[in-house]
Amino acid sequence: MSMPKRDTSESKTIHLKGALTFPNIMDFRDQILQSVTSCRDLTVDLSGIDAIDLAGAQVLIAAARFADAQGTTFRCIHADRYRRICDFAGIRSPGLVP
Amino acid sequence: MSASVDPLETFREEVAELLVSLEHALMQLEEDPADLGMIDDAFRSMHTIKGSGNMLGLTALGEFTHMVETAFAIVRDGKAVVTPHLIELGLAARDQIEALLGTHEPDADILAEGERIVQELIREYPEVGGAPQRASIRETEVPDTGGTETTWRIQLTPSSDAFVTGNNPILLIRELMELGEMLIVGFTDKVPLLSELDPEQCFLSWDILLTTSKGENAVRDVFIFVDDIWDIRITAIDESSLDSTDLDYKRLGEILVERGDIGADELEAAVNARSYIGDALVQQGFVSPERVEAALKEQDLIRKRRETRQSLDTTSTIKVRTEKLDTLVNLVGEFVSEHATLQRLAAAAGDPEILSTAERLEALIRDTRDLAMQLHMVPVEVLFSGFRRLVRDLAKDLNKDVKLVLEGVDTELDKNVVERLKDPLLHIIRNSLDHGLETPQERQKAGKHPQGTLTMKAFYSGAHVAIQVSDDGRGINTDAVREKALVQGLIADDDRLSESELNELIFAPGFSTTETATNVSGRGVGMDVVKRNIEGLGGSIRVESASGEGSTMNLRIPLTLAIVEGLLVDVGDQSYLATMSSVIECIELDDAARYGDQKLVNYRGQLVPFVDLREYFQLDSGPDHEHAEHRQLLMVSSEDRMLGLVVDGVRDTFQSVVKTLGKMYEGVEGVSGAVVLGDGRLALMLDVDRISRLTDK
Repeated sequence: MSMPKRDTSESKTIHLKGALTFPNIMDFRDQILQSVTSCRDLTVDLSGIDAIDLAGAQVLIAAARFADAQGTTFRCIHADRYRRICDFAGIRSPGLVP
Repeated sequence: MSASVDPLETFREEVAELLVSLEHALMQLEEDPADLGMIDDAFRSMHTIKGSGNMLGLTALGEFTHMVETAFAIVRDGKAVVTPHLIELGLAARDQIEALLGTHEPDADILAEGERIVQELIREYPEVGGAPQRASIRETEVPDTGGTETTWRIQLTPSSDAFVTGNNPILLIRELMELGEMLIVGFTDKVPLLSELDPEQCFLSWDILLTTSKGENAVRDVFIFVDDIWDIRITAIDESSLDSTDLDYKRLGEILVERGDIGADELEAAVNARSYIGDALVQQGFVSPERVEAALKEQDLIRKRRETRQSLDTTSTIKVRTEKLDTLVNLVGEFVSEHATLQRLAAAAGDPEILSTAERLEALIRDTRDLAMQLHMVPVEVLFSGFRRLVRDLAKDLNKDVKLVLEGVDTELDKNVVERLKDPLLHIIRNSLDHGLETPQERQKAGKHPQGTLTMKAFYSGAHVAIQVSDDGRGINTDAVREKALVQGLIADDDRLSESELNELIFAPGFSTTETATNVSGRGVGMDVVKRNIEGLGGSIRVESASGEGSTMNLRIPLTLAIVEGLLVDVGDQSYLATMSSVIECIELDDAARYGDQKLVNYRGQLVPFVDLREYFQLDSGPDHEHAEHRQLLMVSSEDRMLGLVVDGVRDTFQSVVKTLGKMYEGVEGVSGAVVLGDGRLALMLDVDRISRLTDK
């Protein structure tokens, strides 16, 4: 897969809504990927997310890692569900604002 | 020597302890319904009873406890709050568990009561009715390994299509969690960058350290549906039965190699880098930081477990049946008696070596005796706590509001003494609640706080333990006591009795001031029996009371019944033993400054009454006391006063097991038991308190 080109925008916030779970995971991946490549500072607001599973957490982890590789700041806010599933599964949750 | 242990009997003993904890938790919750710790305690007690009951096939007990436990789980999970009704049902359930425990096939009454409790619980918490017995089924199906805990390293790599096939790792992790204590480290190092991620594939993996007493099969069963498609490696890395004093676990490099995170060549390369092994491995790209962190966590966990195990090993306790302890104490007592004989024979033989051996033996026996006595001691909390429920239920029945305050609960007493104190204290508490403490309305009218207080307090007093039971109620009505005593012929019309003497009349046989007997007390069979029981223990009881302010029962109980140490004295042909705890001093009678013709001596500036034991016991045998040389005055303490006892001679200190007196001594006032001397003769135990009181009269 080719890497999308970076936009000139400095910072951006995206508001995810619905269930960040396996059935919708493709759409979410595309949405986040496009945002990461289009700015230097991305905030993902998860307040509209009403469910998250391991597939969803994996996408956020991959996004944080990709953003890091791109030199893009990546953070997730209102991310209690993300934090909870990562804590339960013993996995690091990159991008979480402490 | 081996003895077969009945698992059901062991279970009953365990449940008896759990029921005490459960009752305590419920009573505490009643005082503070928001105490989450107590909700947990109550839940845990029931959970343990349920699990063990199911394993022993006590189905009715298991099912019933499950229902009650479910109600407490609802409260614990914050879905409901503690209500007075839940406490009532909890206490009723506690009694029901006790009843179910007594029988394998409960009768109709027991079943009906169980049904009533369950129905009320369902009314209050509808979830109780639909609660499947999941936990109990698991407990009956999964055999415990009998306390041996194993720490398993579970390396879990789901197949990449785990999300697609719906095998959710989270559910399996949750199921593992139910087996024991778990430390979980998830790895994300194989998760690609988002641009390269197929989000429908799973790239996560886990290292799980599970410590459980369930066997390996129980652990493997969790993965039964995925074990041929996922990469699952289960390795035992530590076991509680290992007799290892080595606290160290494997080195970090060893762990990483063992787990397959690095190869031996990579380890060697990192070691050669001469820096911290973890850093070197990460820097050289052999392993991700996550995997080093997981290995370090494993190292830390096992070290901690081993430390805890070692500390538990050094402070561990074992349960010993009280009969065995009784036997030990009795044997030590016999030892003491036999030693007295040996010492007498050694003295008669005049052999210095035998005498020296006897002395060394005495020191050993004393240490053994002290240890045996300590083993037999229990804190009075065991006794006092049992009255919480009684006070609560009685107060409720009598429409009274009573707070029970316990003080000095760490004070220790001989277990046998504790057993024999139960009934007397029960009578005292019942009397206090029935007659002493007023209703809230009466208290308010009298300007008191509507809630009455009953205080039980224990503290050491020499070789005795003092127990006080006080209430802040109306106190003893001495006018009513006097009137009743006159009617019952206990006193004459012209008797002039002090307030404290009138109070003491409540201990007279059959005495009661209440016109109608209640089902709580008032049949007049209480306080005289209490007094007799306490005196049977070698103790004493006195009452203090102030009108309108309350009453206090002062009990003085010997620390132990098993072995006494005393001073042997001779009076006539008979030997007596005065307990060392009561002896103050021994002086020559001739040196004592008598006070005129009265039986009083000036002892250190204080006039103290004395009793000639020859006269007291009406002894006319033995050397004529008028001509007996060097008669001694034994100064003793009795309750809160002093008394002199005139004896013919003082011999030596003596330790022995106390024997009960035979029928021959029935009605002899002033002796409470007997000890067997080295030469086989009997010495009578002086009941100093009794002599003092009778002399007073």
